[in-house]
Amino acid sequence: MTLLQTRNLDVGYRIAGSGLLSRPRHLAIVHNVNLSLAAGRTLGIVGESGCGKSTLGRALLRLIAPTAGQVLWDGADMAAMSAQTLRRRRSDLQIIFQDPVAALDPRMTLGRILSRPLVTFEPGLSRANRAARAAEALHQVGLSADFAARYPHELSGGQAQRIGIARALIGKPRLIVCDEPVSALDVSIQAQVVNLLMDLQDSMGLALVFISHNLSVVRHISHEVMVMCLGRVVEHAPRDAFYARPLHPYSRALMQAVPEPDPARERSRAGQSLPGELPSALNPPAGCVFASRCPGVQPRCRTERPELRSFGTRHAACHFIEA
Amino acid sequence: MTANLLEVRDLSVSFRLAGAEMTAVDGVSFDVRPGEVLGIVGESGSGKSQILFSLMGLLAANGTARGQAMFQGQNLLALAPRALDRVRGVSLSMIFQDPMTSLNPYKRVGDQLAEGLRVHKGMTRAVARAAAVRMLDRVRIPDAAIRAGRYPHEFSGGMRQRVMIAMSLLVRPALLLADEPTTALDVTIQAQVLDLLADLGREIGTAIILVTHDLGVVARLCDRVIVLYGGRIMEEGPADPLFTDPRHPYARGLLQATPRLTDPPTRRLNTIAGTPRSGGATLPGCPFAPRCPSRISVCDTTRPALTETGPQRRVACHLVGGP
Repeated sequence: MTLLQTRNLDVGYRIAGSGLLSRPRHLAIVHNVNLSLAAGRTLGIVGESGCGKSTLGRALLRLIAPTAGQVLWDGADMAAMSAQTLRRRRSDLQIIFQDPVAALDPRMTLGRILSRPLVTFEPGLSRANRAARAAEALHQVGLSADFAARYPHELSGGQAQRIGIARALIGKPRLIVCDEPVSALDVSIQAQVVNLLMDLQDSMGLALVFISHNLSVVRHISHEVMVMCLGRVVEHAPRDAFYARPLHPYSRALMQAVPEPDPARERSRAGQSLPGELPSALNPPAGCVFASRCPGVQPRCRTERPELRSFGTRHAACHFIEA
Repeated sequence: MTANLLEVRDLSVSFRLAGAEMTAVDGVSFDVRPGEVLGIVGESGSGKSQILFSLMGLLAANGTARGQAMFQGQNLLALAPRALDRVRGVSLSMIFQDPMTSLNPYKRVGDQLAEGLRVHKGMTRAVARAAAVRMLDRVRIPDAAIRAGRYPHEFSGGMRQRVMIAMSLLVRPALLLADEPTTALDVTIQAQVLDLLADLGREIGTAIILVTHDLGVVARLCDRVIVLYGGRIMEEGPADPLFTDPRHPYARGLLQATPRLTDPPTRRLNTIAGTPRSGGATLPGCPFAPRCPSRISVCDTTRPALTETGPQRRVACHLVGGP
């Protein structure tokens, strides 16, 4: 059952003009995204800084309004929902953030942080019931009930991220957008948090959008993977197909660049890094977003933007992929 | 057998915090040979960065370093500030995780680079400037002569880190201390910077101590590795055998918890139970004992000595025998 769907979604921001008195201009960040996500499934969104992955994540939750296109939740256009309906829907749609400590109010006890969403989502609930739900959420993320009396500064990074997850869970959501949830955590803790998210998905049928720059972590948690570059989807494919043979040259470059804990393999890749940098989103290229760094670039790539084409179960945006 | 460039003996770093003494590095000894790349890997709170800061005389005001660090016949930990300045300008330099905060925002990049040459090598402004531009060109800053006249904010993150590398290698130091130099960079840019460090280090003959939490980065760059936990060395050895056959339970756990693109695509990740130590009183036994899956009773009471287990390999674990 499809929970979340986007149709030709564009997202952008208004930014100050170049001069003091010039008009603000519109900066397009995310272009033409089409995706759909069912309960119990994970979509991994991968890309480097500035690719628009976090902006897309926020637009999926309607934390940012789209500039064009639609986000459909349970088949209904979120942009058309009244503020009141949207507010009620918020318990279905949650988010967890990269910096788990910054995401928690330092002056509130964890019990209060956790039960706060219930005041909005389930206003009839008594204080005792809210506390019970907070204890239940703590249990779900593997923390003991006595954490409710503690404050955020008493937590390690891993514990703080568990609290972030518990807060997202307390309203019994159906979708969680995870925006770089393990990037700030130590390796051993990262693995714990990824496993926790997968366990919760299995037990609650959660849909997850997992935004990350880390291809190896995304591989473990995702059912399908979307690669973004400068605001555009360059590849979108089922996980196993993607990792077995990425189609887009940018996907291949990302995969090639990930250093692996294997000295022999790494030595063989020394000196093969891709030169150059991506252009700025303020000044996007006319053709393919990857043209300036692509090892296989042709004249056509610089002038004509490749559309996302389908190759069986997968999609990629490159002029030169053989079907 | 070549002489060692750096010999660190029984280095301890502690901080006074609210009247109490907090030990960050606890009796660490190691050598660095000329031209080699030594990786120090550990999680947050392991003390890895404090080792570098103490060598560089950059500990916070409430920090004290004890022990000895012999570098070119001088004990770095006992040098007067003026003498330390001379060493730092000429044969020892350091790069940091965040290249923006390490560059002076008010000074043109070329002038910042030239300053070291003028102060420490007595070059004239014009000669130093020309050398700076040549170095910027070598770290592949496009249009180096023009870029030298720009300010740090006009550079991207990857370029700033290349500027830092150029600055630190300009004096042709015998030893470069690198503290998480690629952690803030995107993967494809990280790959470029790692290639650059490897090439330039080899060309100039600079030895590097690379501190990182990323085992992949260690595998790409390092000849030898030290695995640090709770301020103590758990295991030390050449990169290849250490990665293929880690002996210490912590080194094993860390390697198993790191997701790899080459793993079979199982969904669950291996974890290490518990959270990394940060601060607190020094344990009488092994610092990893509270999280160790193979702990026996002696681990809680007696510190395991760092014992030689093979050629250049040392392990501190009661369960790992001699060679």
